[in-house]
Amino acid sequence: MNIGIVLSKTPSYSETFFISKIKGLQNHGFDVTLFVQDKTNDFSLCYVRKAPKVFNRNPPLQIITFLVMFFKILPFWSRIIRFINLEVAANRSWFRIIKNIYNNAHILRADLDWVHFGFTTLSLNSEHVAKAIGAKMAVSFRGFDLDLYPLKHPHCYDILWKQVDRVHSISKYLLNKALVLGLPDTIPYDIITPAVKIKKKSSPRDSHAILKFVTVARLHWIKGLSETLEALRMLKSRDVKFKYIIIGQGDEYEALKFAISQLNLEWDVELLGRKSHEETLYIIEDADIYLQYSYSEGFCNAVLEAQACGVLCVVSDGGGLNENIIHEETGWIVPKRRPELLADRMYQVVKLPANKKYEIRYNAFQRVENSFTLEKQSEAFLNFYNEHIN
Amino acid sequence: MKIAIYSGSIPSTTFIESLIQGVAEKHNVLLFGTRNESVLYSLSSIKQHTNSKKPIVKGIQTLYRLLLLLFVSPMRFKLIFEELKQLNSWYEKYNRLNKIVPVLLHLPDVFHIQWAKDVEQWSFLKDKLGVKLILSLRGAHINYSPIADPSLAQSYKKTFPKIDAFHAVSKAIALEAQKYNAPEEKMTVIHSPVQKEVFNAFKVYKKKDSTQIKVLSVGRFHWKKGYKYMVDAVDVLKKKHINIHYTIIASNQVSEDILFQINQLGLERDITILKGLSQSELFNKYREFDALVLPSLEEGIANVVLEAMALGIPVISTNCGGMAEVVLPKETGWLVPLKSPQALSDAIIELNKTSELELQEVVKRAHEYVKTYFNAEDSIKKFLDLYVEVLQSN
Repeated sequence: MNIGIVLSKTPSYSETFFISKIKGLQNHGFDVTLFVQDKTNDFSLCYVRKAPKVFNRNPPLQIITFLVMFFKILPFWSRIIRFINLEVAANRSWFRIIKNIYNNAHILRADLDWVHFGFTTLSLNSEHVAKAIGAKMAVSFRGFDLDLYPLKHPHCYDILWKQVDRVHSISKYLLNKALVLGLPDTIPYDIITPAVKIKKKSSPRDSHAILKFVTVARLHWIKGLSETLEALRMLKSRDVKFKYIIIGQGDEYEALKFAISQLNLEWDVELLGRKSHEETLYIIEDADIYLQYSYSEGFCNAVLEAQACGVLCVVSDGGGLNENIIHEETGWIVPKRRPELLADRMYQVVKLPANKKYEIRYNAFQRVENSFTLEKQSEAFLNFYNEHIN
Repeated sequence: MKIAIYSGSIPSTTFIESLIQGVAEKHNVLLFGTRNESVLYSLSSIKQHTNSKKPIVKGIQTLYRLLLLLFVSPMRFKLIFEELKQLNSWYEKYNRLNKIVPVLLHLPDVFHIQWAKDVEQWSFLKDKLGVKLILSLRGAHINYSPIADPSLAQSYKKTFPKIDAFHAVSKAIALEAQKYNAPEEKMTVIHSPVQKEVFNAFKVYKKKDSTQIKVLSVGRFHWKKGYKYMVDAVDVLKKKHINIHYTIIASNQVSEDILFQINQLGLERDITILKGLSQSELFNKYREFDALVLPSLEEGIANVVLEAMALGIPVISTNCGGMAEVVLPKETGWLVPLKSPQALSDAIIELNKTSELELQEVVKRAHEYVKTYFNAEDSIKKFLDLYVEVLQSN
C-alpha cells in the first residue's frame, strides 16, 4: 500500500511521533512518501517529494516555474480535470484553483492509496487532491489546528469535512472539538496518542535540597507560563526553595523576562532556551516535578516523556492533559488559569512523604509503559489504514 | 537657542507634537528623522531637516547635504567617517549616514532624544561636539526592554552617566532609570499633559439606571496591557452572578490569546471588542460606561486614565509604573495590585456599591487633580526651564 504523508517539513529524528510511524509502516511493507515544503539534507528514511516553490517577490521566475510545472502535470490531465471539477463545485475562484493546482502539483502526480495530512491546517486548499488522484484522504488533528486556527478563520474546515475519509486525533478532547467545529459524526476516527521510548524502571530517590521544577514548552501564551510563574511566586512566599527551568524559545520571551523580574524570581527561574531532545530528557530526568500549566494542549508529548522518566507531573486541566494524567494516581490536575490553586497543589506535592511520591511516579511509569509505547502506536497506525480498506 | 526634538519619525505622537509647538513659541525647533507624512507647521521657528521615505530621494538628499557639510564644517565632515568606522555592514553604515548627516549639518545646541533606545547612537554629539543631550524616559524603553535584553541594559549603563538631563514622565520611571546609572540629580519629572479640550468636556458623573455594570478599557492589544487579567475578572464576576459587560477599544486587531480566552471561558456575550475610534467619538463613548479599567502590567502614566479622570469617569487602575502618582485610593479612583483578577473584580463590585454622591466627589477630585498637575501650560514651561538650565550648566 502507498501512503503519502503531508507535512510542512521533513521531521527531525527526535520527533518520535512521525519517525516511529514511518518506520512502523515500512516494517509492515507499506511504501511511505513524504510531501513537504522544506527538506533537510540529513533525512533519508523514506522518499520525499517537495512542493513547487513560490516566488512571490519574483514574478518572472514564478511564470517560468509555472510553465515548467504545467508541462510536468500535462500527462496527468484526467486528474487535473477531476480536481478542477471538484474545486469548481466547491465555489472556488479560478485564481484560487490555479494556485491550488500549482501548490499541489507534487501530490497530484503521485500514485497513492492514502493521502494523510499530518496537520489539519495543511489540508486547507488541498481538500480535493486525494479524490482527484483516486486515493483516500486522512487528516490528523493537532492542538493549533482546532484550538486556535478556527478562531480567526471560522468555517475554514467546511470543505474538508465533506472530503475526508478518516480522521486521526491525538486525544478525545481534540476529536470533540472537531465535532463541535462541524466534523460529521459519521466519519470514522481513531484516537492514537503520542508515544514514547521507554528506558528503565524508575527507582525511589530523594528530592533535591533545592527542588527542581521543569517545563518544556515553546514560549507561547497558550502554555500558561505567566500563571505558572505567579504560582511559583506564591510558593516562594511559603518558603519553598526551588529552581524552575523552562526549556524552549518563542515570542513571549520579553513578557516572561519582565514577569520574572516583576515577581522577583530572577534567582529562581531560568529560561534555558532551546535544547536538543537528549539534553531535554537529561534535564527532565533530574527534575523533582514536571509542570505543564497550559491553557490547552492537544495531548502533550513532554508530559508523557516526564512520566516515562519517572518524574512527578503537575498539569492543568487544559484540553488533552486530562487524558494524559490520571488525577492523584499518575500525577495531579489543577484547574487552568488559577495560579493560587496551582501554588496550593505544588505545596501539597512538595510536602508529600517519599513513599507516596514514589507510588505516583511508579503508577505513571507503569501506565506509560502499558499504554503509550511506540509499538502500540505503530500498530494503531497499521489498523488505521488497513481497517478502512478491509 | 536651537533645540532638536528627536523621535526618529515625523509626525510623532500627540504629546511630542504638542511639545514641538509649545517650545517653538520661544526657540528654534529642529526636526530630524524620517518623514512618514508631510506636516505643515504654522510656526516658522520649526525647521524640518528630515529624510524622505523613498530610498532614491533619500540618497540624493544625503548626497547634497554631504557636499554642503564639506563646505560648512570640514571637521564635522571628518567626524562622519569616525562614526561609520564602528559599524560592520555597509547597510548599517548607509542607514547611519542618512541619519547623522542632517544633524551634523544643522547642529543644534540641545538634542532632546524622545526614546531611550536611540540614546547610544547619539552620544557622540556630546563627546565630540559638546551638544547638550536630554533624554525622555518613557514606558517600555525603560521598564522592560532592558530587562529582556541585557545588551541594551549595558548600553544604558554606559551612556546614561553622560546625559545632561533626563525628563521622566513619572517618579516611578525616574527611579527605574537610576538602576541603569542615570544620576538622580539630573532627573526632572514632567508629566505628559492632558489637552485643554478634554478638561472642557468634563461633565458631572451620573450613575446609570441599568442593572448591568459596564466597564471599559482603551488601548492596543499587547501583553503589557494585562487584558487577560480583566477577562479573568469578568469570569470571576459572572460566577458570582454579577451582571457585567466589558468593552475593549483597541487600535489594532484583537490578539489571539484574548480571543482564545474569551472563547474558552465562554464570555463571548459578556465582552465586546471595538476597533479604534476618533478622539471625539471616544470621549462620547466613555460616558456610556460606569468605569474605565486599566489592568496593565507596565505603564509610564497611562494617558487613557488621565483622560478619563479629566472627563469625569471613575477609574480603576493597577498599581503599575507611575499610576499610583495619579490614582490615589478612594480619593481619585481605585488602585489594585497587579495580576489579580480577584482584586479587579472586588474593585468593580465596590465601585458599583458606592453611592452616586460619593462617586461624584471622587470624580470631581480626580478632575481637579489632573487639571492641577497635568496641564499643558505648566508642562511646556517646565521643558523650557529645563532647556535653559541645561544650556547654562557646564
